[in-house]
Amino acid sequence: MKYFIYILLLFSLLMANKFGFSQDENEKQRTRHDFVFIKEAGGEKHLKVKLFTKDGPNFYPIDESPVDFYINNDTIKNKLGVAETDAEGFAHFFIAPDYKLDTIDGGYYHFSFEYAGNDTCEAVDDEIEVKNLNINYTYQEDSTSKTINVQLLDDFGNPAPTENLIVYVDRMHSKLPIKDDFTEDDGTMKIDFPMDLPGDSAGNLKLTYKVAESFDYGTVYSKDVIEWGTKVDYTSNMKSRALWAENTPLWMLIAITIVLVGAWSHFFIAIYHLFKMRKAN
Amino acid sequence: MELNKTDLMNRFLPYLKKPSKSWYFLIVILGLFGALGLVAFVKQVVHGHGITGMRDNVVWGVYIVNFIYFLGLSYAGAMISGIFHLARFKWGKPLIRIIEILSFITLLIGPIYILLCIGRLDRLHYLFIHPRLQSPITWDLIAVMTDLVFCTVYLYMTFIKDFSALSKIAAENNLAGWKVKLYKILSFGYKGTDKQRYHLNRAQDIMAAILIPTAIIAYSLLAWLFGMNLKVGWNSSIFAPYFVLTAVFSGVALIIIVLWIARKTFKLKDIFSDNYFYIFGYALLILSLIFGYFTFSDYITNWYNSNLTTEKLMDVIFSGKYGVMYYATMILACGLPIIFIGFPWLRSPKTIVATSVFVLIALYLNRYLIIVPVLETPYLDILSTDEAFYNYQPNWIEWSTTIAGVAFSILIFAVLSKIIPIVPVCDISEKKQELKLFGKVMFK
Repeated sequence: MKYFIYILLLFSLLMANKFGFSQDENEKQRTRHDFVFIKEAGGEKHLKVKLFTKDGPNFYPIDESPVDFYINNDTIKNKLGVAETDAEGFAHFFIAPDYKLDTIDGGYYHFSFEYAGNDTCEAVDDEIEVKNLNINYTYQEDSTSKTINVQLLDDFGNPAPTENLIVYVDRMHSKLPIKDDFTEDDGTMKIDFPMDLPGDSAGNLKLTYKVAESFDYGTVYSKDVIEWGTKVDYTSNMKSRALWAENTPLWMLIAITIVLVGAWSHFFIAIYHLFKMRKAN
Repeated sequence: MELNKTDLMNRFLPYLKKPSKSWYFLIVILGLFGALGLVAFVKQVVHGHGITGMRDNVVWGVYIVNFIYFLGLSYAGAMISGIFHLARFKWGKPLIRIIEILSFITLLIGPIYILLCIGRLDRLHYLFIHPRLQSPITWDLIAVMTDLVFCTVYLYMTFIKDFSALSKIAAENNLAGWKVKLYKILSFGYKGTDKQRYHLNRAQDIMAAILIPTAIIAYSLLAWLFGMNLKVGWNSSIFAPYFVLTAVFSGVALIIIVLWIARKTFKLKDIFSDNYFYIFGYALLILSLIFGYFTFSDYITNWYNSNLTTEKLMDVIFSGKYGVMYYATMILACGLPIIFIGFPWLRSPKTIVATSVFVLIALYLNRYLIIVPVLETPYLDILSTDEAFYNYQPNWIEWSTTIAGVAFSILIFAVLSKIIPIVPVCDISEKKQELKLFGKVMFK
């Protein structure tokens, strides 16, 4: 009887799931999104949206879907263009450098996007207001220290306080963080630069300044090349005898020689015996 | 059973006389298969590799599978015959020649597939005039050529006593005139004096001793040709021993099959008793278990540390398009020997031979699985919309040359069996053969 009740309960649960409590197949899923403004190091601006849905603990990108981007002023909503989401759900819209962007009060750009939805996903839209930010820096060097003074200013010369600024040096496979901190009230940050960082053969280092996902400014990059690295002669590290060099590694040369001499010398001894055999006729 | 030299020679003399019609028929059939391969080869040279199934990614297809398969058989033969010779196994003497001939033929045919695989044959000589000693290709080239020379000379040395014996009786037994001359030349002045026997045995011992490490090194180098590539599925430290083991495994299977054919064709049941099949059958069973262990070890190491590309490869092999081939390989190579050799009531020479045939097929598939799926799963995506770039499909060009290789191998064996007895008549009847190793007499 006990097992019968268990089975009945299990069956009821299965049926309930099938007919009663399961999600309506026609019900659209909620579309989730991330909308950010990015200003690249060269001054190029672009808008990035990520569209995705969530099912249980998993997130699923919405791919190959058109997203409309707009710049708004107080009265008009101007369409900038359309971008399609990629396989990871990202839609990037790059604003042409010569396009004059309208601003609203306080010098803010008012961007928005619209996604019309599809058979399975709901429509979604959002807007952000960001200002143009300039990352200014000066370098100071003496015999004992190297310092970078950074100041973040908007187009009107107003400082950007308490913004998260990250400075790193580009390495071959990663970025080496030098400083990750918040700017002072006057938008400045002082960075003590390491004295012994290896650069290229001329001592050059590629620096990247990044204001990360600021509410007022979006993500802003700036790049520079400075001669603050120690000069490294990479050619001196090249082994003259290596697998990739023109000359065979010495150990390999010795090993191959031993094996070949060993084998062929025995072969010739065998041939010698063969001729001795003939002579013994 | 003591075997008398004269009796044995008399048994083989009829096979050395004018070939029968059935022999000519066999040669014609094999020749036709060989010709088909030559047609395919010429077509490939004229039209380029585009007419094969190979493309930019899968540049090593059936040709390389054949190459490593044939070389595996050859090296296994060299190792086994070398060990048999040095160990002075009395029961092993009659089959040493068959093994040596197999070793020689497969070593002759195998490298031809490399030539078929090379896109620019006109640049082949660059390998010789601009060798890079640090390149596995150069190691392989040196190893294959060294082994080819050693195998040929060793095979010839083992023929000398029989050539000498035949040169004495050829004329009176109405063998062809050219054969009489050939035996005389190739006997190299051997008359069978004690001193001559000593020098010849010493030469053979030395060659047998160097053939064993040479075969192991050569096949390991071939394995490193794969293992040293930074490719998923290849970059493995156990590839060299795995290759050597697989070579011996396939070699033993081939020996069993050829032994059975030789026993039937030359009516040698009194020489090659059922016990030969049982001994090699046990060896096959043990090797199949070690093969299973190595395969498991290789795949589980890859699978456990898998990255995205390895996962793709594992999916393709275990549950994708190569799934059937993989499971067939494992069942044929590991399952059948356990069932038909492991269980005494199923074990018989016939079941052992049948199992060997399936093992040979399985090990061919094993080589295919080692090469093709890996090349179809590169780290960097294949940038082509052409289906042929993703899925390697060997076509008639590759299969024709493969069949031609097998046909030529049988043809060479058939021709050699008309020139020399397929068992070493003089060696079998020789009662004592001293073995001297490192200056010490090991066997008297």
